[in-house]
Amino acid sequence: MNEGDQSFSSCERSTSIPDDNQTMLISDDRENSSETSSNVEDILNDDLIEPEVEMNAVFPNEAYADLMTLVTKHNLSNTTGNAIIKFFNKHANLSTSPLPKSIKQGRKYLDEMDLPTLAFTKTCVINYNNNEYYLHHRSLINCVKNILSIPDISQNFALTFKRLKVMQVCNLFNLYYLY
Amino acid sequence: MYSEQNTGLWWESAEDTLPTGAKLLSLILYSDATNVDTLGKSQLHPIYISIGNIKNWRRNKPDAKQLLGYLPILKAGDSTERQSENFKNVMREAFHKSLETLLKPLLNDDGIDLTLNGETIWFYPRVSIIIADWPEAATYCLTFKSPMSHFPCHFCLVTRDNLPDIDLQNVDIIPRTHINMQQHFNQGSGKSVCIENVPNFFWKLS
Repeated sequence: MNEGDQSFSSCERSTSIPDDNQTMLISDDRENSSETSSNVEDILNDDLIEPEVEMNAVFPNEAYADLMTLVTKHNLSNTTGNAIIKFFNKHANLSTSPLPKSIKQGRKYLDEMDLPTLAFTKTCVINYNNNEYYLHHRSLINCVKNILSIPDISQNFALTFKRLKVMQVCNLFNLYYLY
Repeated sequence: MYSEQNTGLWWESAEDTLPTGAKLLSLILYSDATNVDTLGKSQLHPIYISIGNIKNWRRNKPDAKQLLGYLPILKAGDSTERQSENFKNVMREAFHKSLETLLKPLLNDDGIDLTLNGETIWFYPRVSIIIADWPEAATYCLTFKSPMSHFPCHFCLVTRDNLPDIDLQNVDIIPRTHINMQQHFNQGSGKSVCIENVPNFFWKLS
């Protein structure tokens, strides 16, 4: 497989993980009936729970990343995603599959990824009636960095003040009258 | 004639306050409490951020903004408590404490280095615009929320009776500024200009 050094090293790093993931998956299936689809609260809480497994900054391999992008982008259901995994494993003819065992496992992996630019922190802002109220937030600088990292932003980015001259208005009007 | 943010007077005067070589990073904040179910039982209060340096047409695309966080929503036991002045003040306090937590990087006097297209630029972040509906704006400015108050506008000190007067002279229009509002607050005369008795976070930025 043609992979960059980075993802290869991450692949090695993640070899210690499957055991943990496996156990998590089993317990996850047991809780299946009580588990509802994740809402914002869940996402927030998930981020805030102390990680039980080693954090990964990148996906184990490119195929894994592409699969998760595909599923997220098109809002595919777990069943559809699992069918894709099955299809891939059947026709790729690889001895070991680069993909997760199920979409659910893939999602778990996503949740446990260490992405500092996406991390939410929780700050207690006030205590009222013996209830602590928290602000769930990301770092402002990280948000700005995320926006600035969009590839075509720099072409549409103003750095200094620009005075628009009234002359231009006149020219525009002249043009308007000419035509 | 104005078009983008960087052609406005605010940009010019804000740029003048920066050290030479530093660039202005104009921040746009947007927040609104919103229902997350059809019954209106659970609410979230997201706050978003965008950058004013980006040209308008590009900034308005969904990817050019980021979710900054969720502001806390206080729970009251019953409607009497919810209507009480104490509860409302705690709510305002929580709001401004949250803003302080979120906007802490703005209090840094040295600016920040950010990378844009592989180039490191020395930026000074400044809040340029806050987009909010009326109740939200009143919470940001800590003005009285009621349109029946003596000075209902959060921008200026024009009386309620004078607001629809189209012949109003410039001298009659006194803007609310961080200076005069803070003065009233410190003197304990906030009530006379219709501001709440809660310190405003934005005074710290000036």
